[in-house]
Amino acid sequence: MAMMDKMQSAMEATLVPVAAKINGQRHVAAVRDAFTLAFPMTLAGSLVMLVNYAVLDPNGFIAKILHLGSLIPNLADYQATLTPILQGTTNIMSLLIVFLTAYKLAETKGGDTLLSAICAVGVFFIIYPPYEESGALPMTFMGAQGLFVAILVGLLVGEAVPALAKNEKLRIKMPDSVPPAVAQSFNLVIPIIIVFVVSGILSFLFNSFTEGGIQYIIYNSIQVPFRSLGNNIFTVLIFALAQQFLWILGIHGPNTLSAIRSVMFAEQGVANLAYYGTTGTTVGCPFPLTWASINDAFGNTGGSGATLGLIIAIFLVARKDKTQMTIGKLALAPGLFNINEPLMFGLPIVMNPIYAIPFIATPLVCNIIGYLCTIVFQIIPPVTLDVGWTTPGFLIPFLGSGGHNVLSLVVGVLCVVVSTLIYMPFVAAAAKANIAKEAESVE
Amino acid sequence: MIKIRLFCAAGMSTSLLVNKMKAAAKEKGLEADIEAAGETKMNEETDGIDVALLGPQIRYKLSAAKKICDPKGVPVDVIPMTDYGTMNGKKVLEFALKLAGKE
Repeated sequence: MAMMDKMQSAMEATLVPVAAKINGQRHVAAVRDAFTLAFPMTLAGSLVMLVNYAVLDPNGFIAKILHLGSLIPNLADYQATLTPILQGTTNIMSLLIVFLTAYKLAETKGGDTLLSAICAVGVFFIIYPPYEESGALPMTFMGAQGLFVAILVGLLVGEAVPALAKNEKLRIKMPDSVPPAVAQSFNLVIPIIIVFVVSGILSFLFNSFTEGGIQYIIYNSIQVPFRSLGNNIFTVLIFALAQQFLWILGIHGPNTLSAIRSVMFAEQGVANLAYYGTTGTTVGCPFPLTWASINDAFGNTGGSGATLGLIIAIFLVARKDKTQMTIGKLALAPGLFNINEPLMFGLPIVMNPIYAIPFIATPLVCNIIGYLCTIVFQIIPPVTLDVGWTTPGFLIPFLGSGGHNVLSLVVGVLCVVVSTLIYMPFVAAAAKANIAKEAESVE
Repeated sequence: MIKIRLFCAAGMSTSLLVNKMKAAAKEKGLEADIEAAGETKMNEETDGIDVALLGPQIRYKLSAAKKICDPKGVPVDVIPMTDYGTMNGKKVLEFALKLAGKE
């Protein structure tokens, strides 16, 4: 134990500050917070689409159970009521992100959050590809494809507006008789003009010298390569490994990595949802392999580390161990909804060599199972619908692929069984150690 | 009346602890306003409160949290790991009261 304590304090002194730096870095934090804040919108869009196809499609699983198809003629026609909801969620994702990124960044600088945010939205449209001949603005870059530009604009404007606003010389002086609220609204006019004019010039230059302007350049040269980096099982496994390792140090792994993960996988998730919105199936979707379709779907039942299996293992082989049983019972209800802090800090898993191996290995194994089933052998449809991370994990492969393939449910349960088996020997070892320790203290 | 806010990644796991703390406060006959929130809402949620607590999984946020809380005169600290893991509402409440200097 003494060695473990030493190791822990060494980690605390070296790695925790690094994690703190990454997390505290203003721009990283602004991007992460922007995606966190926008998340309910995509989740809502995703759930509505799921209901749309499960209930209003004669072949949907709820429609089938209730025989809605034969009860209500032309059932599918009513889908048109809910389909436009994607127009207000995923199809304007970039607008939400540009607003929120600038808002959150301006907040860390103590600037005017709302004005910086709406100014960023303005810039986003100043550099947007020009109107088409019909007088319509293409939707292309308001959704997933515009995300990189949205992040960049959010960061630049969120930085520039508060910085320029601090400059006394750029304020329009009003006589004292003008009410302060009115005077204040003039303070930011010159900074906003500067930001807009610079954006206009930049956009003009890009439009003159390149095909399609800023959006196309950034999309093709940065977003596409970055995205393809994500569409790879190894990337997913590395993210899982890093996240589990951080948790063992007692640091919230998913949270620490969420900025880079959101940026890498955001377009795929949104594009997949749009695909489901038009076709009603996840089969054949543009990006079947993402963090969400693998790790969230298969490797996260019970929370990071697929710890529902750990709880079941405790109930199976550690019944005589009071320590593990107490925590196991406490952790069961939240564990069903993938919340596992009681296990992390109660057992604890943090800084505990016994649980470290299964805690890292289990999600990796489950992710590989999911990868084999959905990508390699394609025996179940890809899990590309976001149903929220608090949905019981073993239901996610089923619900997240449209809720019609029973085999998906079987694979979800199989992952729980596999994780239980991996945890079992380690839980038994911990129980043995705990019982011996208890006996010792009684003597 | 004491106002306590707990922060973690999404405000989910701390909300479990909040219920236990509320029960502990009731037992003590203490009037307390205790809620959980996600760390992204720290700036808004720390106005006019007596004490802020962080879940141990975001303890690396402590220095950032201090930057927000210190100017508001709100004491802030990380909940001890074991008390958090065992969801010990009584102990965490005592921890909060001590931090707020109201014990």
